[in-house]
Formats: sequence, C-alpha cells, structure tokens
Amino acid sequence: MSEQLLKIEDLWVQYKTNECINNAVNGISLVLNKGENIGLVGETGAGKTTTALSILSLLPKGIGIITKGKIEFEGQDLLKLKEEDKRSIRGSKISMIFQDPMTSLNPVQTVGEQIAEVLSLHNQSNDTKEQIQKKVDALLELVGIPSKRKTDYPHQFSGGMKQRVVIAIAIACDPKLLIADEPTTALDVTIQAQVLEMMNKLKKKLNTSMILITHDLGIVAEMCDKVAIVYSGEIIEFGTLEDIYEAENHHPYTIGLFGSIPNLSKEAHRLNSIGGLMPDPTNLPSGCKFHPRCPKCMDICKKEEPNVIDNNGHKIKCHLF
Amino acid sequence: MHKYILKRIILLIPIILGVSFIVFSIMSFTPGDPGRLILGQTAKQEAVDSLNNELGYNKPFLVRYVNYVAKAATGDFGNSYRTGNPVFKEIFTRFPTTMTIALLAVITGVVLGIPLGILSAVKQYSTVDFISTVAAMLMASIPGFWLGLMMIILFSLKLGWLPSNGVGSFAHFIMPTIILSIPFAAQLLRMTRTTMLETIRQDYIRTARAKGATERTVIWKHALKNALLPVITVAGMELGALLGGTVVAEAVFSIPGIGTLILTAIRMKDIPQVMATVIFLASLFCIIMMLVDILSSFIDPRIRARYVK
Amino acid sequence: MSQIESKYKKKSQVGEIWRRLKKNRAAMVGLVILSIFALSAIFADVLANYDKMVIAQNVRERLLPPSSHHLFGTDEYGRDVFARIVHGARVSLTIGLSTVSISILIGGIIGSMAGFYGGIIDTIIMRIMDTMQAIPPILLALALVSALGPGMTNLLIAITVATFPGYTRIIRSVILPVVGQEFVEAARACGTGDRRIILRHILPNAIGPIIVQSTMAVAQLIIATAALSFIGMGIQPPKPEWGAMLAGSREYMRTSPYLVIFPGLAIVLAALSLNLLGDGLRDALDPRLKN
Repeated sequence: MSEQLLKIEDLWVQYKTNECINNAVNGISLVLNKGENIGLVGETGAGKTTTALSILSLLPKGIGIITKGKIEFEGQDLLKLKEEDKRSIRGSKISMIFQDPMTSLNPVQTVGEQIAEVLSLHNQSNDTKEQIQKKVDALLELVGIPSKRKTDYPHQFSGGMKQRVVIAIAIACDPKLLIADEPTTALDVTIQAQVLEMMNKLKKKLNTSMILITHDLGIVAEMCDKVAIVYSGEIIEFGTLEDIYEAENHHPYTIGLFGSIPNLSKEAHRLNSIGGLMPDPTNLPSGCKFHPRCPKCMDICKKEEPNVIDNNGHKIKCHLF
Repeated sequence: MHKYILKRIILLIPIILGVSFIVFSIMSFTPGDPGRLILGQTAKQEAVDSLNNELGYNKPFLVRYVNYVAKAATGDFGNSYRTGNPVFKEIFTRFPTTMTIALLAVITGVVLGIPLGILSAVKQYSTVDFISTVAAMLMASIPGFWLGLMMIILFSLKLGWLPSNGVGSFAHFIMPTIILSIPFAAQLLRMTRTTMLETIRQDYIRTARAKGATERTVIWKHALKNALLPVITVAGMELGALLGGTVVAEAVFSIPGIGTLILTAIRMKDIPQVMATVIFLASLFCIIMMLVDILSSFIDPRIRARYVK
Repeated sequence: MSQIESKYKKKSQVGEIWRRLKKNRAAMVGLVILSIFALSAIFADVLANYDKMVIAQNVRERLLPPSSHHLFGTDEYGRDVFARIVHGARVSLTIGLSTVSISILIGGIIGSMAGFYGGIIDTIIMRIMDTMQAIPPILLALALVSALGPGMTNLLIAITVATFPGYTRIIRSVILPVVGQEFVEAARACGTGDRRIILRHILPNAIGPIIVQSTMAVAQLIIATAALSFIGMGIQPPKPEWGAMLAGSREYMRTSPYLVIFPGLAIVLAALSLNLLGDGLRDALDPRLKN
C-alpha cells in the first residue's frame, strides 16, 4: 500500500485584478503517493501552473487568492502554515522547476552561487562553506555539467545546460516532491530527450515523487504513472497510464486531445483540432464547462455540472457515464 | 579587465577632441574679432589688425582649429580676453567650490532617491509609494532656480536662518545643494522604482522565492543588483544635467564658481574662456560616463563578457 | 467560429488608449490644466491686450500687490503680472512645441538613415550624436546662445540643437531591430521604395514612445527656457517669459514676493500638467506595466 505524500482537497483559486476576476482553479482534488509521478495535462490556461504555485504558496501577491481548499503534505495543511514554515519547505522538501530556463536563473550570479544558496538556506546539518562547495560540485556532476564551470554565469550556458542547473538547484536538498512545470517546452526536441532521460535517472536514484505539468502526451507516456487531464480549472479525467491511454471510456475532451496528435501512418488533409477555445475564465459557462465545444453535448450538460464517476481508480467527470 | 579599462580611457581622447571641435565651431560664429574684443572699442584699427594677425585670426577655419588643439595639447588654452590670465587659472581657482556643491548634491540625491525608489516598488500602491510618486512628479516639475528663490524668501529673508549668497561656511552650501539635488533625486526615484518593479516580475525572482529565500534576501540580494544597472547609467547622464545646473544655482545664490565664470565670459564675449570652460566641463562629464560604464561592467557579467575577450 | 469572432472583434486602438487614459485621474487633471494653458496661449490677445498691458510701462502703478484690478499684481515697471503670465504661456508653449517638432523631424530623418542603412553611415552619425551628447545640454545651449546672441529665434536654435540627438537615438533604436526582419525584405521584393518602407511599416511602432517622451520633453524644455531666460541668456525683455519675469523679480523679493510666486507657479503647473499627462499616456499605451 503506497503511502500518501500530497493531498490536494477541493482547491479553488482566483486571480483578482481591478478589471476582472479570473477563475483559474475550480475545485481540483488530487492525491499523490510516495514514489509516484503524476502528469497534469491540459491546454495553456487550464490552471495547471496555478495549482502548482498554490502548493508552494507562490501565487502573485495580492492578485492570486486561494479562496477555498486544503493541501495536505506530511500531515500539515500547507496553506495554513506560517510564512517561515512555508519557506523552510520551499526548495528543501518540495521543489519546483519552471518553464523557461533562459529566464529562471539570476544573470548576475554564478551558477555555483545559485546552487550553493539553496544549500545554505536549508543547511540542516550545519555544513561548512567547503562542505557546501563539495556538494555543489557533486550536484553539477550529477546533472552532467563539469564542476569547474560553477564559476560561470548563466549566459555562458546553452538552454539545455541552464535547465540542468535549474534541476540541480531543485534536487539539491533531496526533496520529497518535485514539481516540474513544462520543463522541456522551451528546449529543442533533442535536448528535450536528454533532459527527460536525466530526470528519469534522478527520479529512480533519489526516489523523488513528481508532479509533471505538460501539454505533451508523449512526455506523459514516458515519465508518468498517473495522469490528470485538466480543463478550465477542473480535473475532468484521472487515472493510471493504462486507464488513460488504453481504456474504453474517456471524457470527450480527452478523446479530442488524443485525436489531435497527427498519425504518422495515416494520411490527413488537415490536422484535427478540438473546435472552439477554452472558456474565458472571467466568464465561465454554466453546467459542464466543456459543453460548448463537446461533440456529444446533451441538454443536461448545459444545465448541471456532472458528477465524478469512479471506475476502479479511473475517474471521469462527465454526464455520459 | 584592465585592458577594457585602458581601452575606455584611450577612447576618451577622440571624444574630447570631437567636443573641442564642436565647441570651436560654435564659437567661431561669434560676431566680432579678438583684436577688437581685447583692446576695446576705442583702440585704433591698426592696433586691432596687428593683434588679429598675431593671434592668427585671419587664417582659415581648420588651420585655426589645428593650432588651437596643438597649443592645447601642450597645456596652453590661451588667455582670457577679459583678464589676460591663462584661462585655466580661473577655472582651477573656482573648481573646488563648484565641485563641493555638485558632489554634495549627488550624494544627497542618491541617498534620497534610490532607497525611496526601492521602497515604493516593494510596497507598490501603499501610502509610501503614493507619496513618493507624487513627490517625485512634483520635484521634476519645479524649476531649481525658482525653488532657490522661494527658499531664499523663506529661509533668508523671512526666517533669517540661512545666508542667501556667497560662500564661506557650510550653511552657505545648504540651499544650493538642495536645489541641485532635488531634481536629481526625483529622476533617480522614478527610475529605480520602474526598474525594481520590472525586476521583481522576472522569472529568476520567482526561482529565488521557490528556493525558500526570505523576502528580504530576494529584494536586496537578487532584485537590487539587477535593477540598479540601468539606474546607474541614467544617474551618469543626469550628472551631466547637474553639471549644467550649477550654472543656474550659482546665479541664484551669487556663488563664485565655474558657473558664474562661464556666464561672465559669455557676456563679455571672452571666447577662450568660454571654450576652455565648456571643454573642461564636457571632459569631466565624459570621464564620469566612462566610470559609470566601467562600474556597470563590474556589476553585470554580461557586459563584461562583451568587452573582455 | 462565432465564438472566436466575438472574442477578437477589434476595438479601435486609439479609442482603447483614450479609454484607459480617461480612467487615470491624475492624467486627466494634467490634461485639463494643460488645456487651460493652451487656451491662454491661443487667446492671449483676447485675455489681455499685448501692447497696453504687457509691454507698456506705467510708473505710477508699479509694484502693486494682487487686487481685483490686477489679479496677480504689477511688476517693477507697472505692468500687469497676470497679463504677462498669460502671454508668457504663448512664448513657453511655442518654444516647447517648436523645439520638439523640429527635433523629431531632424532626429527622425537622421535616425532613420542611421538605422536603415547601417554600416559606416550609422557609425559616423552615431559618433557625431555621441559627441554632441557629451556636452551637458545646458552648456551646449549656452555656448550657442553665446555665439549667436540672445533672443527667441536663437534660443530656439540652441535648444533644438541640444535636443535632437536624443530623438535621433530613439528613432534609430526603433528602426534597428526591425530592419533585418523578413517583412522588410518582403516589402522590398514587392518593389516598395525605402522611404515608404520606413514611413508606413516601421515608424508607426515608434509613435507611442515618442509621444510619451515628447510630452515630458516639452515640460523639461519649458523649465530649461525659463532657466536660460532667468540668467539672461534666453528671451530678452520686454518680451514676457516666465523665467525672465523671475529674473526681474529678484530685486523686489523682500517687498513683493508675489512677483516671485506667480510666474514660478505658472512654470510648475505647466510642467506638472505635461508630466502627469505623459505618465498617464505611458500607462495607457502599455498597461501591462501597471499590474
């Protein structure tokens, strides 16, 4: 029986500006067990990043507001912690990697300094400066960068290598949970493969659990055990890899997502896409949020929000079932 | 790194030459000839003509310019038409006074402007931010010389606290420093606030927070260094305006500095004096900009990389 | 399809900017104050007869404090201060606007050439601009006034020379990143002439920042004009100019402080209104920076 590591319970998040209220996350619930990798899949704007930022309370101050919900980690509700306790978790027990390596590193600090910083911030074992430097060297080697480059600045590295530095910073303190927000989207396909391979290696070695945010179903297939399909701030389908890739029943959106992947063996005149756009988060549709675009829309879909149907762990939120 | 500094120093020379050429060209438009200006209206025409010949006035423009530069290279910038003294004697006599005021103004401006700018950015939309922004806006709209006049009315005439003109004690420097430093501080405040606001929104700041750094570390260690870079450049340019501003400040407070020297020289059509003083101040400005550039490259490794091979 | 249409129905860009600007109370205040000054400048002759009130000296009425007869009092020559301030608005705004317009024109031409043709033309032009900007602007203007002599036209020349290098840089910096791009090649391939490419495709992007920059530049120019006139290097008496008026007021500071207060306030309000408007325009053109 796997042990539960993280439990998100009914999370609701809004972005409030002077002009409008953006309903980014509308009731997301998720359970992550130790050693598991969950993929959060969805289009841009679905609420995946917002969910991730909420875990670490890193939403933009004053604008991002968690209106409801609970995030349980190691027996504590992360949202109710004091700021200092949240800080002691960030970077050490839960780490996050962001999307664009080109801008994620401080241009005026050496990469060595930036890795050392996270080590000294969470220096439980009271290491001396030399010991920290040794750890920095080891981390760089671990991600495949020669340790003598620790005195170089970010602009002296390529995109792929920058992302490795970012990963080194993230795993420096042996986190229990690693959140990766589209870690390879900004990279070339070939570099993508390298970085993913390295992440897989690290995951096995350090037994870190991971939440991987992506819109690429291929990456999900390679890296994840379970998948959550996110649409308009909700999880509309959830299950293991087999459930999502091979089972019979699916949410119409999921079918659309898979259908959008061009098939190498078949000829096609046009690319399939899901008609329409994701609903405006400041003006959400009634009932099921997917109904305006759903090819199988029924009358009830326009009026009532569907319940979650749980078929032995494979959950779908749709009126069809 | 040293090569870069050396390169920048050497680059100063063509710029200063260029400045001298521009100033020389401008001054050559001045009506009247040196002979008449030196000897006065009543002098005989022959005396005027012979002096003009001696000074090489009738030679073509480029020849005169080259002669000027050649002499200047040996340190001879000519004599004042008005006093007959070497022009730089006057400049150096008055230099300390003007420099004191300018330096005091710079320090005051930096100490006032930058911290307030940081505070405004960090506490955006708070009362502090609002007051600072309004104050900066006001300060950028108030002419320094008018502020000086108003201060004289209040502090010298009505209250008698501060002297209204001349030099002599520290009290004499207070008001001139204030009217020079305030527009400077206002610019720095606005600039710092803008760059801090931009910097705080950068991804690497989010990374720093995700590492678990305290807000204070995030601002002072990560954001500040990046935000100050453009501020330093702007500060350098504003210093040029400040140097020009000393002319007006000295006029308001009747301070015998370089500013009043230029004004007198202009009124008396003392061309050599005007030229030498303008070139001197411009060169000072160039040196300051060079120092600013070098400082920038120390702070930002990306700039350093561009110039160091 | 209709869903997409309704989402992206294009609102007029200028209308959108105006809407955003209207929300900014400070900017609107600035606009109102500026309009008052502009109207004063245009209708100055209606508000106060030039020869009688602004120029004519009236020894019997000198140095009168503000009253219902003379709203801001009279100066050392018996002239009505209010009338002089109103006409002074005409002088200041004319100089400010003319300088900026000419600078944009000259800077636009030179900057476009530098950015567009690049290479040695660019290097020569920018070196000259660098050297000009190495002289602190007030000193440059002073040197020019010194050579040309005081007066309104010469002042205009002097401060325009000090101002246009800045615009050259701005326009060049807008043109440079765009020049290499493909749509320029495409336009060339269609046979479009160089000048047309610059005017129709590239420069429209620059209008926004230039307008913001210019509004604040006019504010600075008004202050600079006043400063130069104050030290006797600008507008010559008896022409009414706020800075020159302040110069004349020095002798009478003790007894008639209103002579110092009112012209100064005029300068401050004019500059402030322009700065507020400029700030508001900057926010309206790029609202991202606010949140």
